[in-house]
Amino acid sequence: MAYDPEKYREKREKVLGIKKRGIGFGTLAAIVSLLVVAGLGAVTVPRAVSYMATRNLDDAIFKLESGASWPKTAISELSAMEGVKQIVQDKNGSRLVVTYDHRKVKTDAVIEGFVRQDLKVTLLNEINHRQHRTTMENEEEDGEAP
Amino acid sequence: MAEVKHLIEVRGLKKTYQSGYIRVEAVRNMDFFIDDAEFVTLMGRSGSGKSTLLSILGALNHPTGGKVMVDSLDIYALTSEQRADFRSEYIGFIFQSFQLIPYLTVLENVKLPMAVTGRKKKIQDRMAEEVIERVGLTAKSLRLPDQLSGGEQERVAIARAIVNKPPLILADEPTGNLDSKTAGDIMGLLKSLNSDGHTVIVVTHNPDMESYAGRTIRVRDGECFV
Repeated sequence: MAYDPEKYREKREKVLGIKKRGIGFGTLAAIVSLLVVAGLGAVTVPRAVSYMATRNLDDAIFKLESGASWPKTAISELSAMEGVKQIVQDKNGSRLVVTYDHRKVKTDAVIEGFVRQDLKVTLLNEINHRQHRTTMENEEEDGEAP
Repeated sequence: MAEVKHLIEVRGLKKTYQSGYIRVEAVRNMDFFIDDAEFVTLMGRSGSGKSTLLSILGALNHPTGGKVMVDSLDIYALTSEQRADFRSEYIGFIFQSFQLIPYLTVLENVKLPMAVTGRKKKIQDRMAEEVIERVGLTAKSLRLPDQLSGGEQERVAIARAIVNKPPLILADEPTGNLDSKTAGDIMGLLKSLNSDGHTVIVVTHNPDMESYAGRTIRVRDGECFV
């Protein structure tokens, strides 16, 4: 019978390693390892990024001694202060949470800013920003008003 | 891929054994070819070099010189791993002494060559059952080799050789241990496998076996006469 090079092509390719027989152990191990690393990365990287972004932030919680709502001018002026990252009022507007970078500004400087605007304020609490955020999230989950 | 015209091409083949000061030239400058689906007997007296030649054709014995091309593969230019794959894909061996594993059943012996193929167990079972039926031993597939006659053991060896559907069946004196009637049956079986498309090469010193082959290559003192 005449020799037909196509007849045993599949076998020839297996011998020469052109046609792979399934996934090799090394490839499978690499894929599983990559999946595990990617999974761990998906969990840890956002946390690490969030931590790096907020590790120098503190929250100071103020209220006006009069118990009135906070004037908008006071909030906008405070927002312009170097080192102040965020200002949030609670739902009824009586408490003001000032988030600031403790490397650039101290609580005393924030209070001085209020004094310059003739506002008498009470400092209710100073707390690490991340810790405060976690507390707020827990309170929200428990259904407590912030 | 080298330009080839035959399934097997042997060019300038040499094999020399060196034992101390003694140098034996078992194969001396052989050139021949074997076509696809041929039935060839390698005939020669004891010590003529025919079994050495068969082991070289089966990628088991590295030649001292020359080339063996099978399906355009220069089999001794392959890595040892590729050569192992070559044996698994292309070659079915049948030995004179059967070489069955005595503590495995017929079915388990036949399935052995498939252990390295990565096929699923169900497929292995089906393929093994098919070839056991092909050699007429379905009713005895759960017996151990020593519960079988010599002819039946040879049939198991043939089933094991063909279970991976190799294009090439190499048989070294397959009828050497059998009576003439059983030997005729075994050669008939090999002939029918050849009719199915297998290329069969049988080493024998028995001239009676020549009638089954389409062609005979005579081996004498390490040389071949086609």
